[in-house]
Amino acid sequence: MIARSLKWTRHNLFGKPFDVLLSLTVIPGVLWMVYQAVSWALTAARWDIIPQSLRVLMIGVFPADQAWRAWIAIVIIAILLGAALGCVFAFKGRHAGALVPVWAGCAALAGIENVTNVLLIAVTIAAFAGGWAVASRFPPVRKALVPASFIGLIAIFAVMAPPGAGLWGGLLLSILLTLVTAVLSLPIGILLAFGRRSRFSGLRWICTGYIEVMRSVPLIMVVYWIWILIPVLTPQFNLADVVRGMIGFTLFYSAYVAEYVRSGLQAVPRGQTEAARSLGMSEFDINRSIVLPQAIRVVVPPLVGNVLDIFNMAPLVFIIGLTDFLRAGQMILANPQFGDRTYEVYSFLFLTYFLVGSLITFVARKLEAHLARGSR
Amino acid sequence: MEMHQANVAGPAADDGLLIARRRRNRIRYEAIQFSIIAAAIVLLILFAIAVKEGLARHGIRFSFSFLWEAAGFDISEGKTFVFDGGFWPAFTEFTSDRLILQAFITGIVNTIKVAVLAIVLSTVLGVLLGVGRLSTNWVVRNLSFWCVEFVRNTPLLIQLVFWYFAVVLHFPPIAAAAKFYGVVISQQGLYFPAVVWQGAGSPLALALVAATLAAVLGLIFGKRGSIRWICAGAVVLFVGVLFATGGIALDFPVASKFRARGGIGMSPEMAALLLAVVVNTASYIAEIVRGSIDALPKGQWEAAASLGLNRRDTVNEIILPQVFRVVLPSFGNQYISLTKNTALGIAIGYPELFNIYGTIANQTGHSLEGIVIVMMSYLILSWAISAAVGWADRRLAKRGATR
Amino acid sequence: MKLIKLLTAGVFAGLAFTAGQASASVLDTVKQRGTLNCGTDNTAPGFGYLNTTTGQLEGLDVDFCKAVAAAVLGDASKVKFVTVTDKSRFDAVLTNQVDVVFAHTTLMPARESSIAVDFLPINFYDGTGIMVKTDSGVETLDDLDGATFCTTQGSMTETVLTSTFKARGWQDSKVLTYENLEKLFAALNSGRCNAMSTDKSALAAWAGNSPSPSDYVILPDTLDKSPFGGFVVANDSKWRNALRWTIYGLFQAEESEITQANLDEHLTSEDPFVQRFLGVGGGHGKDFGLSDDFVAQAIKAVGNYGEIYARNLGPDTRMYLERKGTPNALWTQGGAIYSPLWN
Repeated sequence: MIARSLKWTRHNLFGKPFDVLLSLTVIPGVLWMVYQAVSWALTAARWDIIPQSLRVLMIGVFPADQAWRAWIAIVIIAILLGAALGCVFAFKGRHAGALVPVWAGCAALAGIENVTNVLLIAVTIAAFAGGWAVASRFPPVRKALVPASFIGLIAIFAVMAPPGAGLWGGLLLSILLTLVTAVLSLPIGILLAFGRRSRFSGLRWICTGYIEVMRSVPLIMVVYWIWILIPVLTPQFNLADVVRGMIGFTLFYSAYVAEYVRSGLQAVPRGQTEAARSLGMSEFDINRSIVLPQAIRVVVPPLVGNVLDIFNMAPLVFIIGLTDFLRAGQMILANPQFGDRTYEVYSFLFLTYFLVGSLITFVARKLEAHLARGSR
Repeated sequence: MEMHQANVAGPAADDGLLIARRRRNRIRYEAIQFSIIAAAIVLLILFAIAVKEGLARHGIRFSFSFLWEAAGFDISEGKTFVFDGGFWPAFTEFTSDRLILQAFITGIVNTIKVAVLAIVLSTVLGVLLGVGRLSTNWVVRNLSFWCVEFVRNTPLLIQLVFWYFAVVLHFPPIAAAAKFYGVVISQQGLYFPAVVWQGAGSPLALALVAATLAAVLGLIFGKRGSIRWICAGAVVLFVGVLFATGGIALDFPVASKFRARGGIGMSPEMAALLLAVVVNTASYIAEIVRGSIDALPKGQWEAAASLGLNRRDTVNEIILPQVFRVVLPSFGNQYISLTKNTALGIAIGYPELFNIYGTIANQTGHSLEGIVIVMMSYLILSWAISAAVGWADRRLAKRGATR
Repeated sequence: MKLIKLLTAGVFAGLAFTAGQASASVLDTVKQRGTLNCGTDNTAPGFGYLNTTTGQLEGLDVDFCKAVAAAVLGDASKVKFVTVTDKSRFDAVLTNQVDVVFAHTTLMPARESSIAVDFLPINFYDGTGIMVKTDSGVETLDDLDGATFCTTQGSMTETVLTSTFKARGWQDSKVLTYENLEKLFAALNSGRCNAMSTDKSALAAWAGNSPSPSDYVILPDTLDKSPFGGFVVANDSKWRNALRWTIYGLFQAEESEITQANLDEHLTSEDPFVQRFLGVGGGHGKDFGLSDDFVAQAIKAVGNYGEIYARNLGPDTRMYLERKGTPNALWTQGGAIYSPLWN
């Protein structure tokens, strides 16, 4: 054992003179930084601010007596995400085991003395596991996932709307914004991608122009522009800020989805379309049932990566006055009493973002490997 | 596509019928084509009318005349063009008595400044990280991996705040600044020695400068390796002579009460924005580089090894040249998103285009007109980058073909 | 094609709506809707900020929103708070997304002339101040020649600082703008900013709430005055007048010593002035399209101006803002809070 680890060390850390130099300078440096961070987190940091303001971080200014609405939304999201996961990975016993510490961690953060919250977290995680298990056991469920996610999102809107959409906030808003954008930009992106390959040069120009313009301007501008323009155009509908933010995000990310889908369409061998055409299928049928499924299969991993991009860009809604997760954290710091807790709050935000981001990346990588295996 | 349409008609069809059907298809195609374009134009016009009506209804005036009003506010850093009678506009520091238009120009200049520097630096760092992820050294491999992971899985906005408040603003104050061969590092900014022109009208100095420029051009556009080596040597020689004769000199920064004078300064905001954007883009570039190295046939490595090349030479001579030919278009996309990401400078007070737009919109109330200007600026910047990358790609492809 | 058809239809529908909209007063719209959309900040302590432990918005501006809701709709809870930023607050009113904005906005000519909004009576008198760190050794404004001044983007302080530099002939001084006060304060602490410049009320709040208030010095100079007022869309005098007199009502209530607590006693008062003021047996409300007891409703909801001030900004709060001797005192005590005659 010792001999093996010595050999590993010599090979990986002290192979060449340059490696020795690098190892001897970098490893102590990294260790020192980690030590500093950990010792700060354990001794100097005052973490009480996080549990104190957890509700604001999670749901923003959503009224406390309406929190049950937020919980319903969270459970629906958990079911949908679980089902989406179930389409790719089979649910196994060890996964259930891994969810218990997740529950324990969330409960510890929310405060164990609050029994209702601990129970509600358990319900959420059970819903997630349930969605996962059902989707992985019963294949027909997977086909229904896309319509189900539409219905789920509509249900969330219906549940969350009564207190006023202007009150949505916190991590829940970030997740909702990401989900809505991801789901809505998919069909629009597919239409744009086909438009860019259309026989009709007019349509081609329009779609290309739209995609290129959207990809050339910053998201923060698109969001602000849409936010101003919609009330100018439709004075009668008073669309909530949240909805306008979602429209801005969707219009922007549709262009990106279109480019991913287009690269997938290009990967479909020409022979496939030609064969279908010789069978007398119509262009629409060829595209819908031959080309698109193959193209989507190829681009699922980049599309999952796109979801991560959306989630990471969600803080930009600060520009239209929405309180997303990052903004909620900054709002805590805007209170002069907590002005000196900058590092605590930002560390918590950073870690949460990193956890969610890593999870999405992990799923994307697994999917990539999964699909690569499937196509071999 | 049209050809297929004709093929479907089949060889069995009679010639006249075929022509008739072709004509019919053509007419239908043209009709649809026309209606698409017409619909797009009508849509645009309707959109414009609706916006105009809506603005009028809300009492929002839409006019660009505010661009010629005096700004009245200061910008912490940045230069603008000043037209003061001469044929060429002067390029000087922005002050509050300049026009709003010149404030916009300052923003564009600041955006370009960060974008260009970041493009160069992120390419270098990105390639290093990408190659580092395939290094045989465990430390390098894991360091590169975790750098990329941390950056890609968190929002840029948080990274930016981290770089600014947790790193750059923890530099020593100007009074106790770290000095390093004329470089001053402080929380009031980074200062580097600057090259200043002192030759005035001296013909010798001017001739030397002209020669240096010619050598630099030769270095960039030279077709053969030997010519480029000669040019590189000439550049070093000419610059050396210029220094020796006093044509140019180094201007060292000197710290004063609140900031340093002389030299080239870089504000802490710019340094933080640059760091954040460079590290962020470098991580994406690293993934692209790693992906394309992975995509190369394993035979390339094996062939190089069998030729007795060591790992570094294999990477430098065999792998990277092939990779660069593939990845340039993807790099172009990253450069565009990098340029767009500089708009987050607003979060730490760097006066880039979007930040200055915010100030102008606040002071004048013309936010819609400002958005049009900002949008056009970003479009032009993005297209310039695409064009430059496309040009480089074509050039690289040509060189590859002639080699 | 389908998409294009849909879009065309959408734009036509939009046009039709544009043409069909009648120009009603916001007052009628609010009454019909039954809720007031009020724009406030949520990051300005004392004026409009979210108390993260209770999850409620608090502050002077927030209380004025409640007062307006109580006066117009008879119920202070019928207010929907819409967060506006320094950047979005004017567009929010111009596009009818909010009915009124109370967001510590400085009253100045350019904002009424080039942006189509009308301001309401001034409800807080502030001034631009300067705060430095004690260990910087700065004692007077003149010590700051060449320094970096930091302020928030979109505030009037930006232009105020610029003209201060000009007046004093400071060539090297710079203005650095941040998005919000929390970043500004962090930048002052780190030493990046030699001076933090914003409204004095905010300076007091940040210094007073910091772990060691003695680390900061607020210079006595006031660079410029900074009167705050709410605003509504321009050319809607019905709406504007209703709000103006609601605010004057809160001023007058303090002068007449009518508080939230003793309101019920005053409602039974025999004094004809008080009766008319509170709308007992007929008052001024009808003329403004409001109920006669609109002032009484507002007082019942949030108290008179003095109570609002004491609750949000006064010496007992974390803002520590003394009222005596400032323009924010009642005119009878030498201040500038003054209501027109209520007869």
